[in-house]
Amino acid sequence: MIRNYIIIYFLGAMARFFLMNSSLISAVKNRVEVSTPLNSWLRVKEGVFLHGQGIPVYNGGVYHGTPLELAISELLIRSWSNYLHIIFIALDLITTTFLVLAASTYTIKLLTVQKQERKLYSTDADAILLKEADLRRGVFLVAAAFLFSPYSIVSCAALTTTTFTNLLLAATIYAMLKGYAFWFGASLALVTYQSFYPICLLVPGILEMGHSKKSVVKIFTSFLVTVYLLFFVSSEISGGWQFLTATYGFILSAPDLTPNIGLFWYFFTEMFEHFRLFFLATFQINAFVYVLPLATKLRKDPMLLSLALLALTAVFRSYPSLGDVGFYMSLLPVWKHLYLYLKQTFLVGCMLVSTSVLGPIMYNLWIFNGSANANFYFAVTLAFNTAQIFLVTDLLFAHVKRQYHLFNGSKLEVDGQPATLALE
Amino acid sequence: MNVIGIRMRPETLFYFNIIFVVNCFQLIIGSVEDYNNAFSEELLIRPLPSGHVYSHFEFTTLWTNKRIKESILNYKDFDFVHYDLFPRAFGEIVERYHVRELHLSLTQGLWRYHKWGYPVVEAPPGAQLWTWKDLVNALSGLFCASLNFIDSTNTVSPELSFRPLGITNPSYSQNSSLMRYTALPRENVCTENLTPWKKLLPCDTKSGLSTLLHPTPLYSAYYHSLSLHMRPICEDKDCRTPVLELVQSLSLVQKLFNEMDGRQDWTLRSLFSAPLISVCPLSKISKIYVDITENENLEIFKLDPLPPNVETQGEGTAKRSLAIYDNLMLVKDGPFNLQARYPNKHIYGIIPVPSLQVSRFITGHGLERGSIRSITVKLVNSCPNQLTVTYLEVLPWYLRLFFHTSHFLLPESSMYVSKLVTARDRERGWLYEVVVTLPPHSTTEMQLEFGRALLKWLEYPPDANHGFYIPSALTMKKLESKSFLGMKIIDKLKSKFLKKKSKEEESKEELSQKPSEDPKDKDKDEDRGGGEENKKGITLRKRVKEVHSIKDLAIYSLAV
Amino acid sequence: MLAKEILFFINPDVDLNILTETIHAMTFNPSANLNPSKDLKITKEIIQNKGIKAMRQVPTEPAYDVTLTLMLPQPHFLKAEWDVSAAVKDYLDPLVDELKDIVELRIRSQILYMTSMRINPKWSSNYKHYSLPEKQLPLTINSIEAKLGSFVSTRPSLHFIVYIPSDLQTPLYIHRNDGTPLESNSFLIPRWGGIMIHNPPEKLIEKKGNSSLPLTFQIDSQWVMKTVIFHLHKLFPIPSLNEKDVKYTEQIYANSLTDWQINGLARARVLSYLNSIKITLQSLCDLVGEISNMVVSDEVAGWVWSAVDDWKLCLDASQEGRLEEATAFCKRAFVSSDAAFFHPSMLALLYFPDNQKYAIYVPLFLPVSIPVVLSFRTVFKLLNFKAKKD
Repeated sequence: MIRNYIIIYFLGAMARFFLMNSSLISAVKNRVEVSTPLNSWLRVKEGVFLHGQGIPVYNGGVYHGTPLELAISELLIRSWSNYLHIIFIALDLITTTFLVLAASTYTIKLLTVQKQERKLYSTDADAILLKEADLRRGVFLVAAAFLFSPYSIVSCAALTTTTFTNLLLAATIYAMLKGYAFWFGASLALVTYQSFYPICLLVPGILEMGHSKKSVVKIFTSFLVTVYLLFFVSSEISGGWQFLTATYGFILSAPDLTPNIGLFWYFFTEMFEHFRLFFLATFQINAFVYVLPLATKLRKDPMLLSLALLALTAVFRSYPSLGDVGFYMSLLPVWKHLYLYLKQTFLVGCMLVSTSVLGPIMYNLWIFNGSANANFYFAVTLAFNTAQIFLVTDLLFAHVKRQYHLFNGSKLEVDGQPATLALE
Repeated sequence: MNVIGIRMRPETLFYFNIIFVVNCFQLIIGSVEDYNNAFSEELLIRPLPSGHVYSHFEFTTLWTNKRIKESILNYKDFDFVHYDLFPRAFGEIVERYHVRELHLSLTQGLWRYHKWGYPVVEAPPGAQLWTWKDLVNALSGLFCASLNFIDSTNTVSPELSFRPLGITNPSYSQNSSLMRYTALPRENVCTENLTPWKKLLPCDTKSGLSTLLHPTPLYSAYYHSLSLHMRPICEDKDCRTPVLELVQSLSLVQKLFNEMDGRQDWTLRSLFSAPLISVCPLSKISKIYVDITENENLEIFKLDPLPPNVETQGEGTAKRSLAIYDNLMLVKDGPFNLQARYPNKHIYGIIPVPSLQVSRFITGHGLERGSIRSITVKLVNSCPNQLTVTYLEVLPWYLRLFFHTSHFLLPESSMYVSKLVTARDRERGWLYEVVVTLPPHSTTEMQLEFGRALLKWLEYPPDANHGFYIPSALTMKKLESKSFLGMKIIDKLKSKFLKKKSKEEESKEELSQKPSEDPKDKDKDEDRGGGEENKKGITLRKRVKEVHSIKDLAIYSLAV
Repeated sequence: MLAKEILFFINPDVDLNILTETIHAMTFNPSANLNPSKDLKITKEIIQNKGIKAMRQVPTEPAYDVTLTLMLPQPHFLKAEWDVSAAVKDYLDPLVDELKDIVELRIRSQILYMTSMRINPKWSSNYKHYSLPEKQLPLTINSIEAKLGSFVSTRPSLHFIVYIPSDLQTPLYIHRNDGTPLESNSFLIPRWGGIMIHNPPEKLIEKKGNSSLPLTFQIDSQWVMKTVIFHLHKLFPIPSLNEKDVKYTEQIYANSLTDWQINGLARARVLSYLNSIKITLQSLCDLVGEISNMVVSDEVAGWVWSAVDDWKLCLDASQEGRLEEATAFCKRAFVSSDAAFFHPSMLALLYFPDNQKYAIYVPLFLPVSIPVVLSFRTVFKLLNFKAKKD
């Protein structure tokens, strides 16, 4: 088993390294799908350059990363510029490790839960019970998915700062599943500081560790203290609070309408100016509005809740990139046992593949050939996002179905009549 | 192309107090204000080796009285009451918006340059912006130009480029925060701008050289530039009589080939579709100069009538000869149609290149953001000396520049960034000012990579098929010796009429004593009254702006 | 400056009718200072009676630009020398000073060369000069108006033009309709200013053949400035006794203004201010009422409130006879009501009509609402199903 891991780690690293050093990279690294104004390495370099020249970085409109990210990148670029590729690959490998650890913790938990609830299950639920070997395979597939997902490879090879975010996210999820309240709070604070939207992971964290009040207090304390420290340090580094408007203000008000795989840019180029604020609020709330209903439904499975939230924020955030998509998708093999119940795998698969191929084509037609327009590209990104939403709803529904079957048996009968479960 | 330079002064209570005191003082002395008005009109015609004919009109109004003297010497706001030759419509603007120096030019075609002014006192930025905006709107009204498109996103205050050309308080010479520069590359220049410009002349178009300014030949020219420059200057060395100078000038480059015989013949009638029939009765000087350098014996072309007076100045490559016609004498005998006749057909030879050439173009393709596209600037120094130039880019915010990619293909030590203002979306544009040292006989290339922002539907300029225009870059060079003198200035001759030496020039002298890497004194495209200073042994700076072949870049819009 | 009480010394033998008329003229002379077309009853009456005078006066504002323009159409032939600053100091500054509590006058002068009025005078052999018939006067300023103005000042301008006739029109005199020359040789343009025709001295014209050009002469400052002051009196107008009989004699401008004249002017202007501020605010009200979703910013609201407050104060002060205070309040109220009215945000065109908004957003919302509507159908079906089951 270990050997297999070593092999895929090596292959994953090689894939990244190969892409980084091939001529393809120049075509990939500034793709709008991969590099957004928030995570583009070009902008990081510009920020570091301006900072080095003594020009206030957050006063201008180029750099929107956090001050700590700027400081770290500055260190990387100044002192480690020859090893940048290696560092980014290493970060991705560490992320993988965290994901694997998180996944295996989760499978152990699943098995424990299954053991506890076994008595309550229906008599004919044996067939769909979890098996340890299967789950172990799932964990392995998580690693493979992250290492070989084209989305994460491209994102890493383009040196986007999503690589940092993903590492922090993986660490947060691991801490959550392990029940390390303090570390969970701290790492959640870090990742929230870095890209704001993951703040919604606070809810699954509390659900996970909510059984003891002490850990909840711990989470909040460590979260708030870390946030405070981070802001304090940031204002010291950047010499003021201007970074808040340049980073979080930028994320929330989305002034840069460069096309990306999200939904904001197209709407806001066409918006009447006096409705702008209203729609901004609507769009941003969209990313968080599902937290409460999902948390109610999935209160017993915070990990699945986290996945759903990660997927939704990857769709509804103002500057999404493929790196975010690749991250949550690589977690999907954990729920290998739900695949049986997925109804739209074919549709979603086709949509994802076709949009991933069509997106760059439409973009090229629009920008370089001038034979298409923004509508074409937007249509593709819309389909891509729809596919993601389908995927998440399908998965959640599969979970619900499986729970039903566990408790009610695999035969679906209502009043003696065969019935179907439908999501309505 | 439009440019406005200006210096603003803040309104303060202190200020009014001073003015009040001055008024009392005048009451006590109680003398009649000493009026001093002068107007001159001049035209320089220069046949160019490329077969074009370059003509440059210059109308100068000088004005001084006690109040103006007071304002200039004490660096106070102008307060005009009784206007004579100076146009009131313009004077009111200057007075209302606390303008110290103003340069505006409206140009169509390549080959453009602009001069600038400087600020004096710090002022609160918010209020200042508004003042600026109102001033711009007032000027729009005066010149029927769409200067109202000027806003905070295209207004900048460069650090080194554009130093005040008039008298400035030396202690403020380092402060650029009150100077404003802006450019509108899209502006079309047409008759509607010419008419109000002509109205500012004391003789309007009723008589004098301005009667030659008919719209049709003007707007069919290859290059056309209308400008207005106001600055305070000194008539004498000790600056006992400071005056306010208003120069209205118009430059034209035309090509008048008779296709059939291929001669470069020109006459006043063929250039301006009318001969000269009168002089402005208010002008002290009304002259036409023809550049006859390399044609002193009138062999290449013959002038009819023969010039009554020829003046030669300079030596070597800087030698210039001008044929001078006094219009007053000539128009007495009816319409005066100056003619140049070439016995031979025009031969297109190799034209000696100017010492400094700059060209700018866009590389890359498509409408991609990111690093694909870049502005490439080529600076060619073809003279045997090392040149230090200031390069200024003022770009709109919707280009996202990546300065870390900008590089000169040269050792880094030969350039330094003197001012860099990063753009903020929809709020302010880019300002990039660098000082570059160009080795002799070399070509320096600079690249600035940029991406493009997607604009909101209302932010696209009208006529989207034009794409976007971005303003010209500016390269400024102060030339040390006469040998670089690229162009003969008519003011040279005017020095008899007027000897000008501004305090500001003195402040530049002081600056030049500083170590050589200090590039703080730059650009001045015309040197005035230089000859006088040379005699006194003062190092004279010939500030001649090189011809810029900087092209306007059109960037095509992202079609949504 | 503005007196509150006026003391009359009346001869007991005086005709009472004349006395009332005189006192009325001295204390309350609103005839000219009300703008026409206002809905006040009193104004209508006045316009009926004294319409022309009411039209003549300048709009009531706190400050005016007074521009003196010397027009020299042929500077190469005739050159006029004029010490404007001295003339202004001697004649206009005292007047400006006297009126400073009521109205601010900003005096500027300019010289226009090579610009002539488009007039067509005829040689009058009776009088041995060129005559400019009265009916031509209304057209004179059209050709020069564009060169006179300023691009920055928002204050109303009063123009006074000293016109030196050109070579072929000298000497030039204005003729009445009956063909007799006008002694003043100047005329007033209602709400705009006045034009004076200043002929060069006759001696100078006689010797024009044998002396070198340009011929130079001095402008008669006294004549010009007195005419300017007379015109100013008429334009405001400053109340006077027996207007008809007042010729261009010394008495009207040689002495400074009397207190009752200043009071009368102030009173009339306060009345006019009260009226015009009311109308401005009323139309602002109508505008806001008309466009239901117009945003009235705090800034504009503040101006409106202060205008209303000041208006009230002005009214109270004027009723109690505190003219000086009333003038100050009214000026303030006028400035704030104008600022509110002309604020860029108060432009009706900025607001979309509601139906257009729907037209734009329906295509956006309709596709979104279809699934919502469909889900209602499902809910109904479910409810029906349950009802059946029960």
